[in-house]
Amino acid sequence: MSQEQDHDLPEPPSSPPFFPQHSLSFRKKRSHSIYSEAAHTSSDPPVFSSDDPPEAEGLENYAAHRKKRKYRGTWWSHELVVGTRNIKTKGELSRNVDSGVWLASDDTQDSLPDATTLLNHGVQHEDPYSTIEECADEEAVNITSSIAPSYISQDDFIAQQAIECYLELGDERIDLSDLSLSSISNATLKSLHSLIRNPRITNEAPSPEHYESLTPFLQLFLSRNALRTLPFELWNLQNLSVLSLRNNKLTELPSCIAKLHNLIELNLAGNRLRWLPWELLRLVGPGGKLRRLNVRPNPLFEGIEFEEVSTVIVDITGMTSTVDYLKDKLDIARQESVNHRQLVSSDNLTERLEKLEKQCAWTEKLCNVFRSRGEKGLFDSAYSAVRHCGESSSFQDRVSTVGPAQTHAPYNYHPAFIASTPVTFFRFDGTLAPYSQTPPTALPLDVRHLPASLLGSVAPPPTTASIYAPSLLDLAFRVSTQHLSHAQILSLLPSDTPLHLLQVLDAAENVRKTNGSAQQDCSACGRPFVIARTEWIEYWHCAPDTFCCPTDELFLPFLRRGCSWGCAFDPATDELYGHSELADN
Amino acid sequence: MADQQTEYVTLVSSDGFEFKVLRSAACLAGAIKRMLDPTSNFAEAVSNRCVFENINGVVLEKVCEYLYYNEKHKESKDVPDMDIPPELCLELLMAADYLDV
Ligand SMILES: [Zn+2]
Repeated sequence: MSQEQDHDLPEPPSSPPFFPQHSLSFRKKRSHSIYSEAAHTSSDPPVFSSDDPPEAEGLENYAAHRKKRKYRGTWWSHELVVGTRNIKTKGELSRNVDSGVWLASDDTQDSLPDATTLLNHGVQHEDPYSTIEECADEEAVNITSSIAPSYISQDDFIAQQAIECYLELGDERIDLSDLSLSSISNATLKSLHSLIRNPRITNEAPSPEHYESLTPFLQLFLSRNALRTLPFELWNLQNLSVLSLRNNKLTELPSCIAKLHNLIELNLAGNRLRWLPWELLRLVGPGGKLRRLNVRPNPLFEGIEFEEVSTVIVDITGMTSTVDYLKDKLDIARQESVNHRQLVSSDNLTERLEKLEKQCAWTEKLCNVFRSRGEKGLFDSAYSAVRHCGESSSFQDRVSTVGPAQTHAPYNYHPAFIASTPVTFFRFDGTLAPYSQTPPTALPLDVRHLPASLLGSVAPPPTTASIYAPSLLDLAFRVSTQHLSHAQILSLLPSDTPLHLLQVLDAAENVRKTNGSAQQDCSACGRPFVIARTEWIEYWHCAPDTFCCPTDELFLPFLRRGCSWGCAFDPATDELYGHSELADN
Repeated sequence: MADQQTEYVTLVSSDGFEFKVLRSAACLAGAIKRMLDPTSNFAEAVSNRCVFENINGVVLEKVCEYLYYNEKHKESKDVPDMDIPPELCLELLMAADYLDV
C-alpha cells in the first residue's frame, strides 16, 4: 500500500495469519453509513488523503496532517502489541498464505483475533477504492459481530467500531452517544489511550513541543446510554478535555476523575448520583481547567432548601443582595412568629424560621468567602468578561465550542467550603463504630435532605491506640490486593473466613473495577487505604464559569473518605488549594 | 502474683514461640485486651500469658512488631507504613481480624 508500511515489514511471524480470507470479502459488502454525520467527508481512504495543501504550513494544518499519520501509527502500535502473528499489508497477506509456512504453526492460543486488531485489519485491508463509510456501515457491524469472538460483548463491539471510525477520520470528538451501551470495557477505551500516546513511540522521536502539537484534545461523549459503572481506563485518558456522561445510570463517580486534569467540560446531568467525589474539586480553581460542570438533574443530597430564592448572581454584589433579601424575609418571619406565638399552627412558622436562618447563614458564609477573596484581587474585571460571553454559550453535547483556544480562560473560579455533615467512624474492619451514625453512602435512597454544620470541627473519640496509624488489617488487605487477584485471595482464604472480611474483599474488588486499584487515597492525608475509617459529606460552592447560579446548584455535596480516625479531625479543607497550586508548578 | 498487672505479657504462638510484649502495646489489640482484662476471670488475665492456637510464630512476630509500631506512633500524624511481606499477607489478614487490630 505505502512505502512506510513496506519498510516496516516485520520478521516472519511465528504463528499463522489469523485473519481469515472470507472476512475480507464480507467487508466489501458494506455500502452506507450509520455514522454519516461523522463520516460524510471522504470518498478517498482518509488515511492516505491530505485535505491540506502541502504548502499550507499553518500550525492547525500541520497538526491536522500529523494527526492522520498518528492514527496510522496507532495501527502499528497495535501490531506491536499483538505481536508477530499479524499481517501488515494485503500483499504480505497473500505472501503469507502462499508460503503456507506459518499456517503450519501450532500456536493455537493466538488463533482468535481480538476485536481491535480485527477492526484495524479490516480498515487496512480494504480495497484502495473503498471508503471510510464502509467501515462504519451498520450492515458491517451486524455481519462482523456475528463472527466476533464471543468474549467481546456486543456493546464493546459497537463502541469499538464507532471509535475506529473516529480515529480513521482524525476526529478527536469521539461520539458514543445513543448506542444503548450498558457497559464499556477497558480494552475498548484503551484504543483511545494508545492513540494519544503514540507520537511518543513513532519513528522520529518528537520533542516535548512536538508532542504538545500532536496532542489531540480528546472529547468523549457517552450520553444517553445505560452505563451503571465506568471502566478505569477512562481515568487514564489524561488528554480528555470534554467528557459527557449525561443521561446514564451512574450511581457513583470515582475519585479517580481527578486524574483528568485537562478536563474543561464535564456533564453529569441525568444520572443517579447522590454525591460527587471531593477530589473533583481539584479540577476546578487554580490547578484545574474545568470550566463547565453540569450536575443537575441528579438526586444529590441537599444541605438546605431554598424557598425564597431560585437563582443567585454569584459575585459579591449579587450575594450581598441575596443575603440582605433573605435577612429581610427572616425579620418578617420573626415578627410573625412573635405575633402568632399563641396560635396552634406555629409549628410551620418555626420550621420556616429555621429554614430561613439556615439560608441566611449559608449564603452569608459564601458571601464572606467572596469578600475575602475580592480583597486579594481574585474578582476583578474577569467578571465582566464572563458576563458578556460566558453565559451566552450553554453546555450542549453536540455543539460544544470549547477547544484548545479556550483552555486558559481568564477567570479562575475557586470552590468554597461551606458546611460539613457529622463524620461517620468505622472500626478497623469496616463495621460501624459505636455511637456513629449511618454513613451518607448507606442512607436509603429517599433521603435527600442531609443537614450539615457550618463548623467543621469534630471531637476525637477516646482511644488508646494511634488514631493515625493504619490498622494491621488494612495493611494486610493492601498488600493482599496488590499482589493477588480477587479470585486468588478467595481461593487462598480458609473456608471459615468471617463474612465481614469477604464483604470488605468484595467492596475492594468493586473499587478496583472502577479505579484500577483496590486502594483509594485518603482525602485528608493522601495515604492509600482499602477500608475507609471515616466518611462524611461536605457542601461546597463550586460553579465554575457560572454567573447566574440556580440555588439548587449553589451548594453541592462532595463525599470525603479518610484512612484513619485522625484524618477526620483535621480534614485540611484549605489544602485543596495547596494541592492545586503544587500541581500547577 | 495472681492479681498483679505485670509490665510485660507473654504472647505464645501455635508452634510454641513466646514473645514478651509491653502490656500497653499488647492491649492495643482488642482481643488481647479482653483476654488480659483483670475483671474477666480469664486464665490469661491471671497468668499474663496468651496462647494463640491459630497464629504461628512468624505471623505473631509480625503482629508484635505492629503493636509496637502502633504504640510508637500514638502521638504522631505522619505515620509511615509498616512493611508487610507479601507471603504473609493473608495469614496476617486473618490474624489481624481475630485480634481486633
Ligand atoms: Zn488519611
